Formats: sequence, structure tokens, C-alpha cells
Amino acid sequence: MKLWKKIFLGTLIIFVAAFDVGAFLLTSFAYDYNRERETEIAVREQSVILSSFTSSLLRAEHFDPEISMNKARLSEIMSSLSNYYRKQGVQLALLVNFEHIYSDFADLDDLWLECEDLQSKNVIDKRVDDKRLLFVSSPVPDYPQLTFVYCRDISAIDEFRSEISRFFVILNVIVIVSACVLLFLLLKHITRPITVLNDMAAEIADGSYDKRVEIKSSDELGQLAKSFNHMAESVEKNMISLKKSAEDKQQFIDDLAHEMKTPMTSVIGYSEYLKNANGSKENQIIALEHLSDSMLRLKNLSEELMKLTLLREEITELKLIEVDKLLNALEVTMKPSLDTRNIKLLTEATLEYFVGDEALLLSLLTNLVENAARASKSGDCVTVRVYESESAIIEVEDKGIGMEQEEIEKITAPFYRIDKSRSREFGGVGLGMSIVSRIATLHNARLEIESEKGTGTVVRIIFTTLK
Amino acid sequence: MAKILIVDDEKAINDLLLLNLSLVGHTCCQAFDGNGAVDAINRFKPELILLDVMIPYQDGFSLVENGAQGDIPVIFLTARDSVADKVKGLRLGADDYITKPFDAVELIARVDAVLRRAYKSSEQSDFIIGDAVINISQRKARLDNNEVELTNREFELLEVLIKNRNIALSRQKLLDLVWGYDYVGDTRTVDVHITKLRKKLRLEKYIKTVYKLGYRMEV
Repeated sequence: MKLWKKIFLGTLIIFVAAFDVGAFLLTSFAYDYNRERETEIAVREQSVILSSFTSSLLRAEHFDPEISMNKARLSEIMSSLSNYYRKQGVQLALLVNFEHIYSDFADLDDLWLECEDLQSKNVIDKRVDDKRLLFVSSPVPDYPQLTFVYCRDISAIDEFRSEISRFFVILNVIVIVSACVLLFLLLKHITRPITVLNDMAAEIADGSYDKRVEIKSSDELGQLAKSFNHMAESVEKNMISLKKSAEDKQQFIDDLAHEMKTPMTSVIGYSEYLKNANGSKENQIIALEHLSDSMLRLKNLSEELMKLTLLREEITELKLIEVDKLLNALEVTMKPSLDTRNIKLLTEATLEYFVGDEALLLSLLTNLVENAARASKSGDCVTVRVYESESAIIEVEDKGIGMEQEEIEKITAPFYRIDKSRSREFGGVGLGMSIVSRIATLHNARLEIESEKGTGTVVRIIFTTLK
Repeated sequence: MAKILIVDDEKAINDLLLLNLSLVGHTCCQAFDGNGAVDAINRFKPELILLDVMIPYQDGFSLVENGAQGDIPVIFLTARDSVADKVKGLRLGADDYITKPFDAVELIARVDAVLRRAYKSSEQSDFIIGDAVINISQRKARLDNNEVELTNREFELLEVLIKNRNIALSRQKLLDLVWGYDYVGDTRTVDVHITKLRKKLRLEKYIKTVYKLGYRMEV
């Protein structure tokens, strides 16, 4: 059973029960009240009529002391009283020793059976034919043998009761129907956000991570919707970053597989050739050269990959580095390879100390200088500068072939090489700039490349937090 | 044998193709990029082009799309074993494709097949090996001008050895190529047939037993 149905039925049952009980209590209270009032009126009126009867009797007694025994005379007095009160719906009777002297109504002998004590005042509520009558009887004062009976029609209170009951039945139906409709609409309105949230949760579970709920109320459901959207947002964000990292990894693996395929093909092909072919000595030497080159390439590749793997961890210790020492180490490392290509290395430092990891920064500089050297031709020079301008900056400049804008964008992607054959000549595997970018990130530094085709390239490592 | 242009930017792979194709007597020319390939086609006038897809300046696909090869059959070399690439190559009118890494015997067989299809009459009529003259298309072998009776298997074995000359073929490989992959038999069968061939055509000096490997036709 749905929530709104539960609330609907529960509320309806409670409401109807309360309404009906209330109506019943109200009706019976009104009825009792009316009856009491009718009784009071009857009693009061009876006393009034009785006293006027008594005064008439006293007046008559003045002329005829035996009047209380004179039935015809009593009857005469009664009849004149009766004629007067009949217009007001009141009927009267007089009994002498329980014998009818005068009566406006039919035989009522059985009435006396219900009277407990005829010497006192009796009130009897009785149904005669289809009328409801209220009888009030009492002995006439000073004449105990006379009983004065007063009767009043109180059918109106029964009618009132049935009338009001009918009214309540109709009211009940109207109220229940309108309560049903209003309750239904209200519940639908209140529970709509739940349905919306539920549908949206199902959609998100099915993979539409970009979906959001639109509920603008400020109640608990509105807050729930807000939290729900917040949750969906972080799920989406995580999904995107996971997807991106999975794609990057897949791309890296694809590129790596591609990168390994060529040396692998050579290794397999040339070893097969050496094993099976009846080649000349000269060709065998060519084959052996290619074989060892390919092995070297695989070795370089695995070494660079290892470096990149190690760089995934954070640097734990940053030390103060002497810039001169770092640049000396760079010169010692690069000199032999640069000399053979007739490329000069110039270093300029206006900064004395520097915070960082010496080994990693040396590796970064080696990579940048090697790239610069590859872009340069014989006789050119590569300049390394370390200076301060707002923050510490390392700069490597060459006057070589330069790069196109789109090449600059791709340069840090693993295995990207602008000139494959030229890079391989020097044993490059295409991971140098990836390593540089990684080391820069580990130092909270930013990589900036400025280059123009034909005029040269400037690579800047701009340290943002360190000096 | 045929004139073949090899286009691949990886020198190692280019040389490997050259060495293997030279073994069976093809004349080869090397190009290392798209522009070099166009030059070589005009200058060298090859009978077949082995074309790598990923080469600088003009990649293999666009080269073929531009019709640089003319009527010359093309075999694509692809480092990627992506089906899409192979299909694209074949759609463009390539005659075959070879995926790296490749097997020398497979390379030679594919090159031969494409050449045979493209130049139906070009099968060299007579192979002269020592005193024997062998005509593969007529399936005839003569020794000192006298026809020598060879069984079907013996002739097929001789054909495989000639086509893959200067390459050592293992007994198992010979069984696969001559008797077929479903043949269930001893590799000794190969030895028996080789002995018969050597005797019938006086090829003792040319069909060499290579230690630990198998047999090689050396010419």
C-alpha cells in the first residue's frame, strides 16, 4: 500500500468517526435540552392554569359551598378554561376521585397506572397514536379529591430530532465527499516530491548521472531533495573523474603497447633472421645492430616507465638546494652528450637557494636540456636560468626549430613525440615531458611553454609556493 | 624476381623487410616517409609496394586514396591489429595486409600470392639449381635434359624449398606447408622425402641440413 493511501484512509476513518460521534452527541444533547425545556414549560403552565382554575373554584364556592361535589359546575369551569387554552395547543382534564369529570382527550385510564403517587405532581411522557404528549397532573390544592391534568403536544421535539438527524446524514455525505477530494489533492501534493525523488533515484541508478530533481519547497522533503541533488552531484563528479582516469590509463596502456610493438617486432624478426636465414656476414651484422638497438630501446622504455611510476608518490622531504650545485651537476651530466653534438650549455643564476628535491629537479633539468638540444642544430646554445620574479622560476631556452601551438598542447602526453626518428636517434622514448610535468606538479610548480616555429622555445617552471 | 618498394618510417622494420625479401631474390628499394614513397614510385617503378599506415607527411591511407600507386599492387603493413584499419585498407584497394610482428615465411608467401595474382604470367619459368632445371608452373623437373619422375608430395616439397630459399624451414613447418595442418604423421616423413629429392635431382649440395633447425635450400 502506498504512503498516500495509508494516510488517506487513516485520516478519513478518524475524521468520519470524530464527525459522526460529534453529530450524535450534539443531536442527543439538543434533544434532551428541548425535552427538559418543554417539561419545564408544561409544569409552569400547568401551575398557572391550575391556579386560575383554583381561583375560579374559590369564587364559585363563595356562592355554592358544595361546588367541589357538583360535577356539572366543575365541568362548566373546566370547559371555559379549556376553550381558552385549546388555542394554545393545551388540553385539560379534571378527575374527581379518579373519575372523569371533564376531559379533552380520549379515555386515559391507563395513564394512572404509571403515576406513582397521585397526591403529588406527576409528569408523564406518553405516545398516543402518532403524537407525543406530555401529561402533567397534580391534585388541586385544598381539594385533594380533585386531580387536575394538563396535556401538551411535544411531537415537535421528535420532529426536530429526526430533522436534525436527516440534516446530519446529508451533511455527513457532503463533508466526507469533500474531505475525500481535498485530502486526496493535499496528499498528492505533499507526496509528489517523494514520487519525483523515487523516479529520479531509479534513473540515476540506471546511469543518467547528470539528472537532478527540481523541488523548491522548504520543508523536510525540500531539504531531502537538496541533499539528494548534492549526493547526485558528488556521484557524478566521482564517476567523471574515475572515467577520466580510466580513459587516461587505457590510453597510456594502448600507447605503451604501440610503443613496444616496433622494438618487439624487430627483436623477433631479426632473431628469426639470424637463426634461419642464409644471409651474408654483412647482413648478419646489420641484423645484430638492429637487434641490440631494439633491446636498448626496450631498456630505456622500462627505465623511464619506472621513473614515472616512482614519481607517483609524493615527495616527503623538501630540502634547501644550492642553485650553483644543482647547475654544476647538470653540466657534469649533460656535457659529454652536448659536446658530441657541438651544443653549448650556458647557465645563469641570480637566486642562491631553492627549496625542492635535488634529484628530481636534476632529472627535470636534464630532460628539458636534452629536449632543447634535440631541437637545436650544431653550434647553437642552450641557456638555463634560475631567477626570481614574484616567485622562483627555472627557465630553459633554446634557439632551435620551435613548435606549433597544437604541438605544445600535446607535448606532456605520454609517448608524444614531435619528430619520432630524431627522438629515437638519441634513445628517447617519449616520456621526458611527462616526467617533467609530473616533477613540476610534485613541487607545486606550473609549466609554461613559449615557442615559435623557427625561432626557438622557452620552457619555464614557475614555483608557486616555494622560494 | 620482383622489384618491391618498402615504405616504413621505422628503419629497423624497413631493414628487416628488406633483408627477408632479398633472401628469396627480390630487388628492394626503401622509403621512410610519404614523400619519399612518391619519389621512389616514380624513380624505381616497383612491381609491388609494402606500405606502412603510420608514416610522416602523408600517411599510407591518404597515399593510396590519392592514387600515388597507380596500377601497382599494395600490401599494407599495420602495427595495429585493429579490424577497422584492415577493412579500411582493403576497401581502399589494397591487395593484402600484414600485421606486425610478422613471420618471414608468411611475408614471403603473401608477397608471392599478390604478385602471382597481379602478374599472372610472371612466374619465373625455370629455376636452375645445380644440374637440375625445375619448372614450377608446368610441374616438371629435368636433370641433364632428362625428365625426372617426382611424386606430388616431392614436387610440393621442392616448390616450398625453392620459394623460401635461403631460409631454414623446420621439419614441422615443412609438414604444415606441404602436407597440411591436419596431417598426422611423423616428422621423419620429411627426412625420407628430402633424401629422395636430393638423390633424384642431385641436390645434396643445395638442400642443406641445418643443425637443430631443419632444411634450407641454399642458392
